[in-house]
Amino acid sequence: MELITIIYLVLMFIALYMFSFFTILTIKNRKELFSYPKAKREYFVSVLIPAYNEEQSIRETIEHIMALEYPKVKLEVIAINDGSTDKTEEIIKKLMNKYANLKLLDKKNSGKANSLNEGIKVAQGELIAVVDSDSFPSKDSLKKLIGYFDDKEMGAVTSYVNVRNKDQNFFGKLQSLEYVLLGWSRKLLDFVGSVYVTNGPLSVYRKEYVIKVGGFNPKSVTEDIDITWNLLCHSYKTAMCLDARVSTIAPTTFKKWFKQRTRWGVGGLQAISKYRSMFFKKGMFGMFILPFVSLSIIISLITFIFSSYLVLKGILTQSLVTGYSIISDVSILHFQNINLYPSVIIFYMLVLFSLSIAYYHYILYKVGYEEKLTVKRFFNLVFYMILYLAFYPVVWLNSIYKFTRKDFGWYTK
Amino acid sequence: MLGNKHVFWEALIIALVIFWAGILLGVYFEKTRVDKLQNFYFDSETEIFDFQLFSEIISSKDLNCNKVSEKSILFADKIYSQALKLEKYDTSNKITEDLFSLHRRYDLLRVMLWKELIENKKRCKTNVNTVVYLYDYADTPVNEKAIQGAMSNFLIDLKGEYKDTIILIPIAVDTEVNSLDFLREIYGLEKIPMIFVNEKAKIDNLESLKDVKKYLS
Repeated sequence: MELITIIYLVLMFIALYMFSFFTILTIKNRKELFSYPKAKREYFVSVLIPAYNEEQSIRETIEHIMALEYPKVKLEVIAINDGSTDKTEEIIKKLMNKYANLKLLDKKNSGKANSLNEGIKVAQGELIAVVDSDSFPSKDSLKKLIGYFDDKEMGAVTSYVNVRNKDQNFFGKLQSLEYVLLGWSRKLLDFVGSVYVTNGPLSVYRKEYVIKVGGFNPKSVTEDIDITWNLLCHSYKTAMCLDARVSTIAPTTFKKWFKQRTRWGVGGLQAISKYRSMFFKKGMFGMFILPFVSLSIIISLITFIFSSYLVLKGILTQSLVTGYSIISDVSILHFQNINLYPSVIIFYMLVLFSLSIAYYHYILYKVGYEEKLTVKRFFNLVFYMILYLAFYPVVWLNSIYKFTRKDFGWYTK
Repeated sequence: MLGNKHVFWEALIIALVIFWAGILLGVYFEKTRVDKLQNFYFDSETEIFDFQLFSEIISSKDLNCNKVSEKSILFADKIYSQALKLEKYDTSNKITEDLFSLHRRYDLLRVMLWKELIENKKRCKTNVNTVVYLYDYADTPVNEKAIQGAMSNFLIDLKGEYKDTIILIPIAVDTEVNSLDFLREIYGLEKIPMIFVNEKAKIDNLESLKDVKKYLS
C-alpha cells in the first residue's frame, strides 16, 4: 500500500472516530441538550465589560445587560474602559446616569486580561460574568448559567454564541454556521466534562477560583482559553449551557477574520505550550482535552499539507502534459484519460461527507438556526465544509509562524 | 458525565466496525476489478498461445502471411484496450497488491506478443507496423510523468489515425520482466519513456514525436 493511502486511511479512521463520538453523545444526551440546572439561591453577580474603542457597540451591550432577567440588587455591572481613544468612556458615563448599578473603571490601555483582573479587584460579586463589549446577551441567558454554580466544584460556565450580523454578507453566513457547530460540539464535550473554552461574549466564573488560579493571564492572547485550562488544570469544573444565548458581531471581511482566527490559533498554541506538562495526566484535561486539541491541529495540518501536495502535483502534472501536448501538436485530453473508478478513500470521504451534512442539518434544526431547510442553506453548508474548513489550516500555519516568532500582539485591534 | 464515560470506547468500536467494513468493501471492489481483468487475461493468454501456434503452422506450411497480420492486429488491439483499462484502475488508490501482479503478467504477455511479431516479421513481409511504448509504471517525478502523459496522448492519436496498420504495445519497464530487460539490451533501449518503431527508430523526446510517422510503412 502506498504511503499516501496509509496516511489517508489513518485520517479517515480518526474522522470516523470523532463522528461516532459526537453522534453517540448526541443520541445519549438528546433530552439534556438544552436543559440547565435551576439555581437554588440567588448569587451576587458582577458583570465585567472590558472595552477598548467600542463606541459603536458599547451602548447596546450595556443595555442588553441591564435588560437581563436577574434581580437588580444582585447585579453589578462594571464597564472597564481600557484606555479607549474614542467616545467609549463618554457613552458609559452617560449610561451611568440612567443605570444606578453601572460602574466605570477607567484605566490605561493594557489589554483585556489585565482589564478583567482589575475588574475582579473591585467586583463585589461571588460570580463574575464576562461580556465582550460587542456582544449582546439574551434576557434569560444569565439566569440559565447561574444554576451550574450550585455545584461547589464548578469554576466556569459558558454560553451559546450566535452571529448577529450573519445576514450582512456571505462571510457572515459561513461564520454563523461555524458558531452553531462550535456551540453544539462544546455542549457535547460538556457531557464528558471537557468544555475547553469559555467564550468571550458571555461566560460566568466563580471569582474565588479565578483568584486562586492567579486570574486572567495577560501574556495570553486568548485569555478565555487560558483561564479555562487553568481552572481545569486545578480540577475545577467547566460547563456549557446551550440554551443561554448571546449574540456577537463577527468579522465581516476576510482580513479581519484572518486576524481574529490567527489570534485564536496563537492563543491555542500558547495554551498547549504552557500546559504541555499535563499531557496524559490530571483526568479529562490531560487525558482528553490536551490531546484532542493538539491532535485536531496536527490532523488539520497533515490533511492540508498532503491534500495540497496531491492537488498541486496533479495540477502541475496536468499543466505540463497539456503544455507538452500542445508543443507536440497532440490532443490534450482523451476520453481514456478520464478515470471514473472510485477508490476506498473516495468511498469513505463520500460517506463521511454525506453523514456530516445530514448531522449538521439536524444540529441547525435543533438549535433553531433557520426554520426551513432550503437549497441555499444546503449549499452554504457544503461551501462551509469544503472551502471554509479546507482553508482553515492556513490560519494554523500563520498562527504557528507567529507563535514561533513570539509575535503575541493583539491582532484584532 | 457518568452515563457518558463509556462513549470513548463505544465510538472506537463503531469507528472500527465502519472502518473495517469500508476496507472490506474496498478490497471486494478491487478484487472484482482484478477478477474481471484476470478473466480477460486468461482469454488473452490462451489467444497468444493460439497465435504462436497459428504462426508456426502457417510458416511451416508456407501459407499466406496476411492471415498472420490480421490475427496479430486483432489480438494486439484487444490487449491494448485492456492495457488502458488497467491503467485506469491503477490510478485509483489501492489497498491490495493484486493489480501490480496482474500488471506484471500483462507486461509479460505484451513482451510475448512483441517477440512473436518480431519473429513473424522475419518470416513474412507485412505492412503492419509495430509501435512499442516503453514507460515507467512506478510513481515518477512530475516532469517525467508529464512527458509520459504527452507521449501516451500522442500514441492514442496515432492509433486513431492509422487504425489497423499499426500495432501499439505499451509495456512498463519496471515490473520485473526479465525477457523485456533482455530485449531492451538487444535493441539498446535504455532511455525511458521511449517509443520504438518497427524495431528500428527510437523516439525518446517530445520534439521527435512527429518523426514516428516517418518510420511507419
